[in-house]
Amino acid sequence: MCGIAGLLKTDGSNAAPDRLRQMIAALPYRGPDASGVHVSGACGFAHARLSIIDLQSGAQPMSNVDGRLWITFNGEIFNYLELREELINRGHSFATRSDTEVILNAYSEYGEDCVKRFNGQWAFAIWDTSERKLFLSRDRAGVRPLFYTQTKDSFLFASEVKALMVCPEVSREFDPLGMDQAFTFWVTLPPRTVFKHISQLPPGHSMTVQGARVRVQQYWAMPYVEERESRNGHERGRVEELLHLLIDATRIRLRSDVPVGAYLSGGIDSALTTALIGKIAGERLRSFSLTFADAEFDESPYQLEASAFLATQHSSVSCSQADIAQVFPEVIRHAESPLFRTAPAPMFLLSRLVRESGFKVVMTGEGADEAFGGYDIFKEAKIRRFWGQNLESKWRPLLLKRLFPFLQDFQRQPTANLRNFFRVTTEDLSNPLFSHMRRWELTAKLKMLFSSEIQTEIGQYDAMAELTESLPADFCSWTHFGQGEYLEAKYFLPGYLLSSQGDRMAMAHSVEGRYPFLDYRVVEFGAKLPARLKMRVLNEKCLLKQACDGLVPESIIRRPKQSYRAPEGRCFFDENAPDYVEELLSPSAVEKAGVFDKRAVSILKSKFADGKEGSFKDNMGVVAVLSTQLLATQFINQTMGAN
Amino acid sequence: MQTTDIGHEIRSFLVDNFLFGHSEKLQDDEPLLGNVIDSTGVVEFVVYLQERFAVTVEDDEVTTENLGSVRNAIAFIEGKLLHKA
Repeated sequence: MCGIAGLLKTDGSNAAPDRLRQMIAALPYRGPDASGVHVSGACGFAHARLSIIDLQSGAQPMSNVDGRLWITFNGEIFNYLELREELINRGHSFATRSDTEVILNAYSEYGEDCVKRFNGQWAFAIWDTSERKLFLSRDRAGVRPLFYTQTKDSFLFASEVKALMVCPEVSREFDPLGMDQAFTFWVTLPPRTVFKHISQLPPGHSMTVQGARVRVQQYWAMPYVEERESRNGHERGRVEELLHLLIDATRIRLRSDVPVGAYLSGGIDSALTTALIGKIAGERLRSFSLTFADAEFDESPYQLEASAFLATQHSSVSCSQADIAQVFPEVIRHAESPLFRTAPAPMFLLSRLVRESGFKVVMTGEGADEAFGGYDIFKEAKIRRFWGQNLESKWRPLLLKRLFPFLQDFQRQPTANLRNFFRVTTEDLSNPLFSHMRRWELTAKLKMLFSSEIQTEIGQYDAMAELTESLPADFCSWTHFGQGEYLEAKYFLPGYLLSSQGDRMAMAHSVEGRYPFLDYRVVEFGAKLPARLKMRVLNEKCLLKQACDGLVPESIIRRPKQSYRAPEGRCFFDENAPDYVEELLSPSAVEKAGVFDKRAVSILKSKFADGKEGSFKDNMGVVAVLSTQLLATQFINQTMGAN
Repeated sequence: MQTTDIGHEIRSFLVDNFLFGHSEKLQDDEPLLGNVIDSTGVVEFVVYLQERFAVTVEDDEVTTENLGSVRNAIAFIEGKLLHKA
């Protein structure tokens, strides 16, 4: 895992090595082991290396044997050994044992389609010196980030926005439409970011830059077409097929020249991943977890039970409200995005523990909820649709009480409240965004916090309409369950879970995450699986739970799903809150940043005065305002230095 | 208490607590529950009505008919106060 940066001059001049050094120096934590710069005329690459595979000879930027192709690469190609053999059989020679050189030779052999053969997590750029073509690619799920921008004389790219912003010619402004999207979906719709003129390459896409021509193309899409099956299909066979895939996905993710650890959250996904590592590696594994002083969020009894059952050597880090408030500015500096909950902050602390324990690589369970029907939002959509089929029914909306068993406030509410919030209309039933619309409508209310200037710039723009326009042509013919999963996996997973809460928090401490459930074979298997094998009535992840049988403690398989959460707004308003909170939420700071209305922020703050807890929306609001104010301070109103 | 006072107080509470001060976004006949007020906000609204107007609001009274719009909420509280008197 590494940091990459590069530029292509489009005015005929040569790339400047000093500029490349400045760019990569902005990302030291992504690659503390080595760094390098290479310039080939108009094109220059920079690389910060976290050495994991081929520690001796894998330095970058790297060229292929004949020097025609150069690469800067962040990530892993897990099937590189098989590809290497295939390429040797086709006459290619290798100077190193690295997966980086496999990409170069695969590109040489298969051209841009080479990425279809890769099983991994990547963001890379290749410069073809003979064709003067820059080729960039990002992995299918969006595990690794890749941002780019164009100025009047250059095309620039990097793993993180801050590496672009060291260049004085790159603008430092918020994009009002990007902010509108973030304050609706919690993420922006790629290629848009919250920063004006800075784009991200969407997951599953590649792009080429040749002369003045920039071409972006999708090389992979999730196949949400449910396989036909008889009512009594071969369920046991599916379980075995899934296990087989997961074992192989885990096996190739253990390819590393440094030791691999695992996160244990207390849920089934990470427990299964850990169990499979143990089964394959056959040695005592190191596991890591988060604990919370607040019992509402803590899952340590389940973590310890899983650790004992799987015989791991376990370490945990305890996270308090004060810890969250203290690290939050650093979390935002890494996330480079407004946040709507504090959950990335504990993940930042967890990756620190991993690094301090001497580990660079950690395996986790991300991706299982999206592919196998784990989220409450799928359950919520199922209940609302069932209710919508008979809107007069008195008992159907009572099922809403089955949602969020771990949320005490939610469970205390009269059913009448829930009926109002989760309301369904006949019109809603035909809305392609049905599964997510209530959540997004709630988040969108936070746009009332925007300043009149930002609201004017947003105008009549409708983020949900844009998303609807971008849906696949046959989306409406998919199962309703598949539609909800798609929205989750296409946007929230890469934009938030794998980014703000994943790559960015792990890389902040030079730790690489690996995700067996995001192996594209597992994702495609899940996407095609009939909905009834994912959620039977309201029992989530039922096929995956069968796969866990005997591998994971029974109590963990049977426990009600608990979403990973952390204390929210109250972290920033107790008597020991750090000074920056008051400073950034002051009317003058709010006015200076220009994103929010100072009176609205003052009203929001008052919702937390005297120890008050604030509503769900208020908590989201305060985290969103504070994180945006931090972004404004760190990225917009400051000159970005190399550090 | 006059209808205008009740209306003014309820509107102020809703604008400050759910609309971050945007009074122009609150119309008397527009849906309130699930629209202006989110699910946890209903509890907050009911607690406010009970404390400010010294009335009791039962769970089964949290309906669209009673609290579904500003106009309905005003009428609901007026009715409660009338009963008390």
